[in-house]
Parts: sequence; C-alpha cells; structure tokens
Amino acid sequence: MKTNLISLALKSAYNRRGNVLLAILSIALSIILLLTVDTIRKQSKQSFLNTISETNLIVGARSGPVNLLLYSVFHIGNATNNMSYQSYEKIAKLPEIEWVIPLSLGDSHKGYRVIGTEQSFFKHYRYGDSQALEFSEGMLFSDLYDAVIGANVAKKLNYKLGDKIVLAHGTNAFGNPKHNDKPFVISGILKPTGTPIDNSIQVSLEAIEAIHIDWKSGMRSPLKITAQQARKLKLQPKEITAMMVGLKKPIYTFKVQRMLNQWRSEPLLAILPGATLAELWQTIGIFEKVLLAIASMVLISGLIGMLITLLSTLNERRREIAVLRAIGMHSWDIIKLFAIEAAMIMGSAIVIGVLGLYIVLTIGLPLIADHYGLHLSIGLLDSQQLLLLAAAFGLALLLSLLPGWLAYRQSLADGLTVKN
Amino acid sequence: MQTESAHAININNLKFRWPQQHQDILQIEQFHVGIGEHLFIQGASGSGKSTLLNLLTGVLSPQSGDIELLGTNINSLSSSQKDRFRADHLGIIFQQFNLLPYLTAIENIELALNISKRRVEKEQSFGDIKNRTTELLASLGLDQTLANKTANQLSIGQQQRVAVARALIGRPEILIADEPTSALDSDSRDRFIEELFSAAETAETTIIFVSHDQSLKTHFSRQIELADINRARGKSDV
Repeated sequence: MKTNLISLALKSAYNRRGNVLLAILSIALSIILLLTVDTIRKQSKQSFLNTISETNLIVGARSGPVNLLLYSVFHIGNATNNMSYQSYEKIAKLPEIEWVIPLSLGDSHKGYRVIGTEQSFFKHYRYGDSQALEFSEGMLFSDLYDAVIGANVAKKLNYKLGDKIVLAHGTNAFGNPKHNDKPFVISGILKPTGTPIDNSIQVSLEAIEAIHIDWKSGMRSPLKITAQQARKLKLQPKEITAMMVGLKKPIYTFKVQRMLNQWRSEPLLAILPGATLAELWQTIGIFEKVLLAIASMVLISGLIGMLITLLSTLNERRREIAVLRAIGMHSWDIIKLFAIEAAMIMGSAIVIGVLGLYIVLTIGLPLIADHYGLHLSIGLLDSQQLLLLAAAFGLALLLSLLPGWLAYRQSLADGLTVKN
Repeated sequence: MQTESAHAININNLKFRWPQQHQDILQIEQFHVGIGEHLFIQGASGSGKSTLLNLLTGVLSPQSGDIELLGTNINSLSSSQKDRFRADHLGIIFQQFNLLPYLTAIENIELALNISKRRVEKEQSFGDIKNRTTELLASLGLDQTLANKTANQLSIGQQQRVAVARALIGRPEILIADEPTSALDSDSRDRFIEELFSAAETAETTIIFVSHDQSLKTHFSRQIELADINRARGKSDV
C-alpha cells in the first residue's frame, strides 16, 4: 500500500506537472540563492581570517592592535611611528624565535603598496591553509634594484618580467614625488593568493634604503647619489614599519608577546594576528548576518510558494479526493498523498538547488576572483548547510499537512459527490 | 451486532440535519433492504437522495438513529473503521468523475483492490485477478484495447462502465449508484443498466440505485419514492 500511495502521488503530480514544476523551480532557486550566499559568506570570512597564517605575532611601534594589523597586513592606512632596526635585530635573536620578516612600508607604485622586506618573506609568509607564496614567473630579488610584483599588479598594469618601474615616495594615489633616478626591474611575479599581497610590490630593505639615501624629510636633498653610487654605500636601514614573528613553539606566544610589549628601549606593540583578525571581522562582518537573513527569507518565501501551490490545487483535486474517499481510502492516507507530493517537490528542489549551486559557483567564482580578488573554492556542503536543507525538507512536510488536512475536511463537507 | 442477517440494509429512527439548519432533511423510521435486492430510489433533486447515500456509506453521521449495513451499525464505527468497511463491502458509482483521469482503466480498477485486501482475497477465490478484471470489463462491453487507456481518453459511457467494474471488483455485498446514467444518452441507459446487472449477478450484490429518472425503474425488483419513506419536510440544497 505504501508503494502504491507513492506511485499514486507521483502520477497525480505528473498530471498537474505544470504547477508542480513551477513550485520545484521556485524552491530550487531559493535554495541556490541560500546556499550560494552561505558559501560565499563562509568562504569570504575564511579567506579574510586566513589572510595571514602561521605568523604568531606581528610587532610594530605602539598604537592600536587593529591599526597595526590594518597597515602591516592589509596595507590600509599608515603607521604613525616606526620601530628601530636595532630592536628588530635584537628580537630576531631571541631564543624563542624561529623566523622574522621585516616590513618597511611607505612607498608605492601607481597606487600599489611597496613592501621593503627580506628573502625570509618569501620563505616564511603563509596564508590560507598554510600556503606559501609561489612565483608564476621569475624569482625573488637578487639585485639591489630588483622588484617582485603581486599577481594583481602584473595583471592590472600588464607588467612582464624585465619591465622597469619607478617607485613613488608616499602612498597617496596622486602627486607623490618619484624616485626617478633609481628605477627597478621586475624579477618575479607571484601567483594569486587572494590576500593583499596580490596588490603589492616587494623589494629588499636595502633597496628602500638606497632610494631614500639622498632624501631628507620627504624631499630629495640637493646632494644627489646615483643608483650606481648607492650600491657602494652601506645600506643598513635605521628603522622598519613592522615585523612578523614565527615562534619555535606556539606555547611561547604569550610569553614573547608580554616581553615585547614591555620592551625597554622603545614602546612596542605585539599582537596575535588571528585574534585581531577575528576582532576586526566582528566589526565589519555585519553584512554577513544581513546576507544570511535575506537568504533565509528567500527560502521561507519559497516554502510559502510551495504551500500556495499545494493549496491552489485543492479545488482541482476535489473530485480526485472524493473518488479516493469513495473507494475507502482513509483520510490519513489522503494527508499522506499531500505529504508525499511535498516531499517530492522539496526533494527535487534540493537536488536541482545543489546542482545549481555548483553551476553558479563554477561560473561565478572566476568572476569573483577577477573582480574582487576573492579566491573561493568549491567544496562539499558543510554539515550546517546539510542541516539547513534537512530542516527545509522537514518544514515542507509539516506545511503540507495543512492542505492535506483541508482536503480531508473538504471531503467530509462534500460527501462523496462533488457537484460541478 | 449480528441482527436480522437477512437484511443488507437496516435503518431505524434515522434523523439527519445539516449543520446550521433548523429542520431535519431526513427522518426515516424504518427501512430495510434485503440481501440481493435491486432497489430503485426515485426522488426529485433536493429531496435528500445524496444525503441518504452519504449516510449509507458512512461519510455523514446522523444526529440520531441507526444504520446497519450487513448487520454492522456503521455509526458506531470509528472513522477509519468506516473507511475500511466502505473499502471492503461497498461499491460506489457517481453520476460522473468516478475515475482518476491520469490512471488507466485497469489502474483505476486496481485502486479498489489496493485499498482492500478482503476484495483481493474474495476475487482470487474465483480465479486469477487479471483474468477476472478482463472478464468483468468484457461483460460490461469494454474490450482489452481500452483497458490500458487513461481514463481521460475514454468516452463518458466507457468511463461509467469502468466505474462499474471498479465498484464490483472483489464482489462487494452492496453497490450504491448515484445517478450513474445521468451523463449517458437515453439509448445507452437501458443497456448500461442491463450490463450493470449482469456484472453484479454472479456476486449476488445488493444494488441501491438512486435516480430522478422514472423511466429506469422498470429494471428493478423494488422501487420506492424517497418522499414516501422520508417524513422530514426540510429541503436539501445538496
């Protein structure tokens, strides 16, 4: 009898396939929307929180933690103060420390930030799921005037290996005095990372020192030193903007943080990048909740659409139900017919919705990566999404009891004969 | 509750009124139908014919009085017991729209068997069900080619014959027909009734046939006017 009810429900639904198909499509669309929004929401959060990984501490001159994170990792805003190169060297020699990456910020090229750093940057910087930086072309800087550029810089400015670029003093978009006398040659281009590195240019700390050697307080001094002359000078920086620190064991984190925050020779600030990223997300992540709320409302409206479809067929199905009652089908079986139809609608909608999600992601992710530099991946549905789909399925079954019950009530009022 | 087993239907002091109505539409003191009887109930529209049939099939319940079918007081049954009783013991034919339009003639007939195990067992004692269905359809003048057509591809006359086959498959004790010929033209009405009788003959089925059409009553062994047994003066809009 069970299988017969199912085949009866399917045949009946097929007989009304136009309406049923519309209900399936409208719910499938809301499922696609919900899952897409949810996937992008989670992955953009993940991508944001994974902008930097495996770095235990970020150290800079004392300011606010979010401020330090913003200028050192996201290249947003500027440091109010620098830290001395002396402190950098001392910190690097601490026994708990595995590696350090110096960051010297403040110059730019056509609006893209320049990072003065060392080879350790390419060796130790990790993002995402502990991914290292990789070159799509060329290699890291070996000559003083070599520069490595991020994937986005290469793409937007159409740069190739060997191209010459001139850095500008300062980070404003326009009107910066240029370091015309000391052009750089592009030695390497990085693969896309989905992090601010894509929009940056890396040169050595010595190069930063070299281009500023004949500058005084933001202006070029009358005493000119050519690019070739600069090579012969001792190019040791006096200060850097910030540094990234990797510890030998994570357990040292709080000990070293405390030590750095109480640094004697100058006021320093050491932050845990993960914690500060999470703190930052709290402030900017409101859009995430808004997106989820909108997507949920779309799904609810899809379910109401299904309810309306089931209700609207009630009149059309009056005779059908009268026939079934006349041959002795029990009211509970009639309610089951509606539930089976709802299950079928919802089941197909979920299958189409999940397939649709993958189609949307396959088409959409390259576009998102292209326009927003956000690199999302296509994965399996997570347990929360599966739970959501199961809940939607359950809700649909629950909602189908209403038309089922109404059909039963109607069949009692109609009796066995339905008048036209 | 095995009383007066010679009667297929026994009605005692039945009173029924629709909700929110001030008058009874049906009041029947005593009414019996014998087993195997072919009863024609004539009544104008609005006389309560359909209401009586809904009471007999257990779809409606009277405010007072008893309706016994085959010795069972159906008003004392729970709603699911009523459904089961209807599935097992009653065949019902309406004036039209008896079939599910999206099922074939055969599937419509099988529907009655799917719901009632008793009918399957009863029919099986007379031979293979498939053959029995074909025979039943043949006795109603329907050939095999129509059996696998969906109901909405059949003419009204063919649909009504399939409805008879579905009502009679599994040999129910009582057949209740509510103006089954009203959608047919007058020539085929007589033939339809003859075919109905011959299909019902082997099972000794009691037939309750309701119609406003006087010309059909000559086929029946017993004819009554509903107004003669109904003492209520209310009018039905159903």
